Amino acid sequence: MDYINLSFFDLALASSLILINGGISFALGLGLERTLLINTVRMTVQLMAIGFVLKFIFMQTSPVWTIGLALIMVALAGREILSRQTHQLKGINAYGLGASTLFCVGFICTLFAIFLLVQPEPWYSPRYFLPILGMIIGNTMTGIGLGMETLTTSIKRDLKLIEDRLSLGEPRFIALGDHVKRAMKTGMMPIINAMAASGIISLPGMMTGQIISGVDPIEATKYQLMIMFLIAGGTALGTTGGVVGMVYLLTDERHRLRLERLKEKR
Amino acid sequence: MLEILNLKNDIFGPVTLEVQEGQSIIVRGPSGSGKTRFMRAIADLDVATGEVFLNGQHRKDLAAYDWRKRVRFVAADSTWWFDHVDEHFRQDYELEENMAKLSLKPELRNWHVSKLSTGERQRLAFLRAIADEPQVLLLDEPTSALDELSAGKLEEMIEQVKANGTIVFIASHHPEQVKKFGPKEILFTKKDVEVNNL
Repeated sequence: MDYINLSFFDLALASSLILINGGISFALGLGLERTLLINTVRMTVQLMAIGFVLKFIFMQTSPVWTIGLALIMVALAGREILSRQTHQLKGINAYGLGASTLFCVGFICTLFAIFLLVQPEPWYSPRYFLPILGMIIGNTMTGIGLGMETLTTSIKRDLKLIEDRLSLGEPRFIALGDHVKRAMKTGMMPIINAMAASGIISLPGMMTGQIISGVDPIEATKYQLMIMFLIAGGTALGTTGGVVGMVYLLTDERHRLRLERLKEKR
Repeated sequence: MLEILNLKNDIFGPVTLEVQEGQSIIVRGPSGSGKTRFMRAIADLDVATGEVFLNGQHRKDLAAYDWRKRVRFVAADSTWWFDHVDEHFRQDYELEENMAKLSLKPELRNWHVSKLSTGERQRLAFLRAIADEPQVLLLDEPTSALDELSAGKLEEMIEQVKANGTIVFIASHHPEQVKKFGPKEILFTKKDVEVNNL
């Protein structure tokens, strides 16, 4: 395979494009220079660091290191879900619901791909395990976060309406039916839209990467399709888990709304 | 018979009370004294300690939604979730006939809910609440948005469901209603709850 290595000089040259960004911000008084600088440095440090971490883990090829890094990835993605919630639950559930859903879905989908589809030797080969898991949880995270956010926001807004329906003797999943549906749709919309756009409007990042590194485009497409199917399935499972879990946490066994379990708005 | 034993939460109580079929009870007291909370707690919409039995059956032995089919709380202001009025009623419910009793025009049944006036909404919410014949009605200021005439019609209809054996709680400030739907009342004061026979 002919693969062209980038030198650090190439990178430095590319980074000069950020200066254009800074120049525009300065000229138009957008005040973004500081944020731009910090985020550029942050991105560079983060990516270089993960490069070295991955290189180290690839050299170990041990199940402990692979699963260990996978767990850290899930834990960080769980924090990302939490930070996107306007109305957070009190206590451990605030983080726990999103993170545990993500954990279950991420591992189910990744293990499905590893053991039934790709079947690398050994199964914990980090080259396959970690990128597949990363792409699944990166997208599932969005679905879970959006679904939960839509649900809590709309329940808070329609509190009176839901209580009227409960008063008339509707079980919680009927009284909250419209809200659950809307939350699920919102959670799944990004991946459904991405499926329509991919190939025409966007060439997905993984496929682009494989093509640059010399893989036959048809083979790259096959991998990309597999990943898209995994992401779509993962997002559906994850959004369902997050939304249904949230309904259980915001109601009780007597089918009452328990909005006091949400923190006061930040 | 409805039996309430030591019903209590952080806002009101404890209340112990026995009500026979067809009886009505006035729930009275200043705003914020817990009248609404008390009635919501009977319908199991608010968390409270204590026991509630209907005809000897403990509410915990029924699913919450089955309890609320029998014990129905009706808030002072109502919400509507379908587009049109009649979608909120069972198809076999004699809607127009009952609407006429509350002097509501028959064409209202096909209206978009956003066109209804506050008073129309309150009367229709009452019909929606009694349509499946609950055994206990908990009415929170049921005539607050009504003029004297319509209020009188609604009171007649309350008398009618009472005559069919329904137990009716009415939170009310009107001395007229208190007189009409006494003789029993629950008086909420800042500290205390008393059950009086007027």
